[in-house]
Amino acid sequence: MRLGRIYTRFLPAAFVATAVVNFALTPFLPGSGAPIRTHRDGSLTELVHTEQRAVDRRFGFYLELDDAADGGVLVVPEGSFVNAELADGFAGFELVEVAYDPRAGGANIPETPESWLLETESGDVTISILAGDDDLWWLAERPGGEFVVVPNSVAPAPVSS
Amino acid sequence: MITEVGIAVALAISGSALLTVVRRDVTAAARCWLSVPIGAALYSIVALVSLVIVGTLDPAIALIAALGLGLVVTAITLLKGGGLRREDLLWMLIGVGVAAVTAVAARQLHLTRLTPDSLRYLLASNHLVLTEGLREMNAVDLVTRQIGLPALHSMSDLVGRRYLASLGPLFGTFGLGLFVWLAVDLTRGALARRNRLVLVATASLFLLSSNRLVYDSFYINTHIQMAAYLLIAVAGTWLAVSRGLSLWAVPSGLALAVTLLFRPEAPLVVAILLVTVAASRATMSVRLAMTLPTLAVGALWYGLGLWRYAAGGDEISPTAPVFGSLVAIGLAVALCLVSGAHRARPWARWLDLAGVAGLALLLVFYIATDPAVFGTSIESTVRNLVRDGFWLLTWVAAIALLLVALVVESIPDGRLWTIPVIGFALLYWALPYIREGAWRVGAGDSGNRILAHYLAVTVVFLVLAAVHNRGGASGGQTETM
Repeated sequence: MRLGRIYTRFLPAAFVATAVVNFALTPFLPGSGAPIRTHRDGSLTELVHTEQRAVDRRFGFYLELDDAADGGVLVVPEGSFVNAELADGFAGFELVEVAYDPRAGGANIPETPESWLLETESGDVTISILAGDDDLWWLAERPGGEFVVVPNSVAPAPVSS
Repeated sequence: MITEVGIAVALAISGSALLTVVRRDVTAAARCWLSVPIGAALYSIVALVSLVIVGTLDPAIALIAALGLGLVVTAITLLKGGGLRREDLLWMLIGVGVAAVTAVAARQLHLTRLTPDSLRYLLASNHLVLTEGLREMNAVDLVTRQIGLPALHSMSDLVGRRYLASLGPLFGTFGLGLFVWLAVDLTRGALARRNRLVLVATASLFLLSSNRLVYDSFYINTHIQMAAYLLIAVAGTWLAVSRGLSLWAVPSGLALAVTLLFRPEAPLVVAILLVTVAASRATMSVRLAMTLPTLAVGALWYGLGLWRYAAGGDEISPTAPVFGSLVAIGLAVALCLVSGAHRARPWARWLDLAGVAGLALLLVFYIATDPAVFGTSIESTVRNLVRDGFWLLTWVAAIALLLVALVVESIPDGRLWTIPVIGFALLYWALPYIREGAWRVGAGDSGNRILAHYLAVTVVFLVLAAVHNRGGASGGQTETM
């Protein structure tokens, strides 16, 4: 069968031609497709001014603003237990403001908001997020020193820098 | 880093040791490239038993148990059948060396890629090590993410990091090694030496230039593992049945079984392959080796794990993910075993064609009931294949070649390749109806990503079709290209 012979004869050429085009076009692919980067020390997320590691496996992720000279904004869903501590120990809480996310339901409107907005002042502030119920949390990088934590069922929160 | 290298070496030794039992039919070189995937499969099964029976996972104990099991099997095999040959030791050392170098390179080059999906897997890996691991893990994620990848990444506990940077690269490297070995072995005797080398080299180059497959070797998700396990399962089945190397069914059966721990659609993939074996001329020992691991893993994971802990796991309905999967696994295993009986042969040999026809009819039914999903999936898939999915020319070329290969191939027991390839393609189009809706445009869409599972299998089939086809290449010692 002639088609079979042609197939056998030209298969290597087809492989090579495809590979050449693939290699040539690879540098033009936009981005890596991976929004979350890693640290060399094995931590997971490289947020602006932020380092992430697990402090308590039971309660998921732990965010540490290690150089938060300009503070940060943390948006977490309703029902989350948000706790802010000073990084140099348990010297007390330094919650500057806890308010409803104005972008999720209007400023300070106490009607089942989808998220809380927590703003921190400058300084070494550690924020831990304790997930309630059976939700999982994941992190998405946002520009401008902001970061977002959203549960399984909610799309990334509309935070703009 | 030393600990992570140790984990990679332990997986390689564990797999190599276990595979000593199949050394009659599986060459030392093949065992070398199978070692890490099979070692990881053994670890995953130990982790499954621990989670379902004990309730928690201690990654150190699971790794030691996997290593111990492998070494016990080696000891028994050697006591029964003589010592290791020099070639065995050499290839085992090569495997260990490649695993160590890969782990070092993975850590040094820092190429790990994560998306929010990756974090979900890693968070699950945190939960599995707790006292009641399966209860702690998110009940929905138990079905959609499964425990295979989280259990493997739980070993990052031993390293003091949040993930194992070497895991993906290990599967990528050993998967590529196995691909090259298969391409060399399957073309042996069918082409002149030079032409054979050209075919193997260009096929390997084709695979290496596939952007998404390379990406998946560094991306924390289940895709590179599925690609490696499906390659082992499909190629191993063919070698066991067609070449009469029946012991290939052992790694093949293990690889097939362990896919059940990695992907929610795996029961359907397993069913397609087992029905293909059911229709083949596989001996009863091959059928047993192919089905028993799947039966054990399926019963433990779906029957005892997911049934109790997954969201809606105890729902009894044909469309329920746990119950439906149990039915698919049970039915496929039963068909595979029953059709091995001599009296079943007249009808059993059509089972694979009937299965594919049934899947095609199901797809037609789905399309008729909701054509919009199919339309959107087609549009998304075309856009993903030609541009947005970052596959570049890979699938455009592979599909064109596949269509020709399906027409011209005359591979002995060729249905062991064509039925899975066609079945996986039909499953790809049926999945949007079974899961969360139409495929979407973008490199991160599930549909785009699962294409990686089938690429290596497809390329091996393309190579086989080049040496076994109606143009006379088969058996032609000096066929030119």
